[in-house]
Amino acid sequence: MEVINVGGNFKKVAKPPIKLIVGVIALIAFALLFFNSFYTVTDQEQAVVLTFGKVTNIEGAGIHFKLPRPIQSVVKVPVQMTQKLELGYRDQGNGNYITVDEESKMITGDFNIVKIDFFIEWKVSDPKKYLFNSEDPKGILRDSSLSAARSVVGSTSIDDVLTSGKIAIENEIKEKLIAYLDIYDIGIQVLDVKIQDSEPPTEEVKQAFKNVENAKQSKETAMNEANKYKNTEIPKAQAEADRILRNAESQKQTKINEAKGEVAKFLKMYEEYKNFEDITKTRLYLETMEEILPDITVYIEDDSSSVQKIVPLKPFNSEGGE
Amino acid sequence: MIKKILAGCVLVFALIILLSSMFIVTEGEYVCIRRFGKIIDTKDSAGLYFKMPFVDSKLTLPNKKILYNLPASNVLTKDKKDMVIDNYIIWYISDPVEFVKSIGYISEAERRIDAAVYNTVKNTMGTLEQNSIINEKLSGRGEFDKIVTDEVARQLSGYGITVYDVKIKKLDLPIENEETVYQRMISEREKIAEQYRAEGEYEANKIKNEVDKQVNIIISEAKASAQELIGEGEAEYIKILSEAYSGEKKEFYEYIKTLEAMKASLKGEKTLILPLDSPITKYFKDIDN
Repeated sequence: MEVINVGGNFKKVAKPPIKLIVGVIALIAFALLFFNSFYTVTDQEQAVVLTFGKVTNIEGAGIHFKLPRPIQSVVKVPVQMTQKLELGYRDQGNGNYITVDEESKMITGDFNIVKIDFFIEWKVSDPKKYLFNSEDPKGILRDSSLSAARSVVGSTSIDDVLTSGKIAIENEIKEKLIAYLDIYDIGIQVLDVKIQDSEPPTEEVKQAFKNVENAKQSKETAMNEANKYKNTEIPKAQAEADRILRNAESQKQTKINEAKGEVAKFLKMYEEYKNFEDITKTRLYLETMEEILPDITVYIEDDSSSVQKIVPLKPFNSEGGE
Repeated sequence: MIKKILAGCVLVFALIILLSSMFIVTEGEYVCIRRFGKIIDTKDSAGLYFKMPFVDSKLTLPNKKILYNLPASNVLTKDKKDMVIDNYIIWYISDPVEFVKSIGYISEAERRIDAAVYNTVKNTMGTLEQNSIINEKLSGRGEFDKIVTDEVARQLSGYGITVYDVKIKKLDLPIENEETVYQRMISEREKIAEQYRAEGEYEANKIKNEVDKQVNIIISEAKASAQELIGEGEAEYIKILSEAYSGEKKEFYEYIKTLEAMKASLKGEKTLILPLDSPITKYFKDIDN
């Protein structure tokens, strides 16, 4: 009796909890399913809805409802977002880069080697194709970018690659890449191709390119110096020429003035001479003699007499002294 | 009670059968239904399907483009230049039944693709000169890719595979040759630098020489004009004097000049011997007289 009683008691107590537990579990499961059935799509995304594995709908931004897992599933694709694919380098954030030589090293049309870092800006143009047309759309984009870049660079000279031809190269790569992706049809749209950096392959080669730049500069410098020389030497010469000319002019004028002076002096003297011819002549003569004879011994050679050939003429001053 | 348990079991069993006979084909997939190993059906569009439970098994294969990167390999060009080539191929399973029959696995397919591409690339490369492979504008690498793609597609057509594209991803010189290229690049640059320096020197010298020439011309022209001016001065001098001393003035002028000459030449303690008929002697005689 007691046992039965106990059993009865047990049954009475145990029965309701099983139902309750089942009910609660069912409720929780249902709630989970229900809440899991809502999903949100951001502005940048589109959601591809698969019903039994088949694409049945593509949803834009907002909150959406789907049937639970085996029946419906959702894959979100960042359609509006512009994505960047780096080739030849990887941005590590905070301004650090690592180079990937394997991708960046290329051979140019004139058999030189360059390193080119570039990036592709792209976005998903068709989420369905992006998800289901290929196994690895990003891998295809990467490999076809490398292929396009190499075929363009392989047809360009190193000088164009390093300097003036960058924009043309970017455009050519972009064109090629768009053509490739058109054929592959993997839901990717290429927006832009940009060359980040193009440089010679090793430090030594880089140095050689720098030397060319230096040589260009030194050419400029040499020419500037030559022009400086020109700008100083020509005026200097002109100044010198001017000096020579003025000097000559002054000599000419001096000479003329000298002549005029002499003539003036002479004319004055002549006037006097004309009036008193002999007196003037004698006076001039005496003045001259006075000036020169004091220091002079004069001999006069007399050819007419055979006795004494030379007549001594004592200076006037020494005559008195002896 | 037993009935209830039995009914429950039957229900569970039926559910298991139902679930195992249902299957989903997702986008981008093929599902082949095999009955005792033989493929009896292939589903290539997505959706919910049924099969015979337990008897049928399913095999899933990709129904999308597959990218396969071949390992880089060394090839020789027609002009016996060594190059390293790296291809990628995009392919897909166009006939899953044929594919399963003849190849079976993706990895095996890649092995065959490898062999086909390698052989084709090697053979095609052997017909082209090195520079025409590198420089697309000289020959057309696109053409090369097309030839290789077509040939590989032909070789693999029996396997239920369609080859979309075979492209050269990388075409480089072997590492051993790179150093030679660097050295050549350096020497080329040195040549260019040297040329700039020589040009600079030449241009600068040209300018300097021109300047020197002009300087000489300016100075010599000035000197020439100066000589002319001085000459003019002398001429004027002579003209003025000769006009002044002409005619009756001549005698007086000569007289003065003689005196001046005496003054100039007889300065200092000198001894003078004169002939009797010298004009100077005449004056001495005059005094004596």
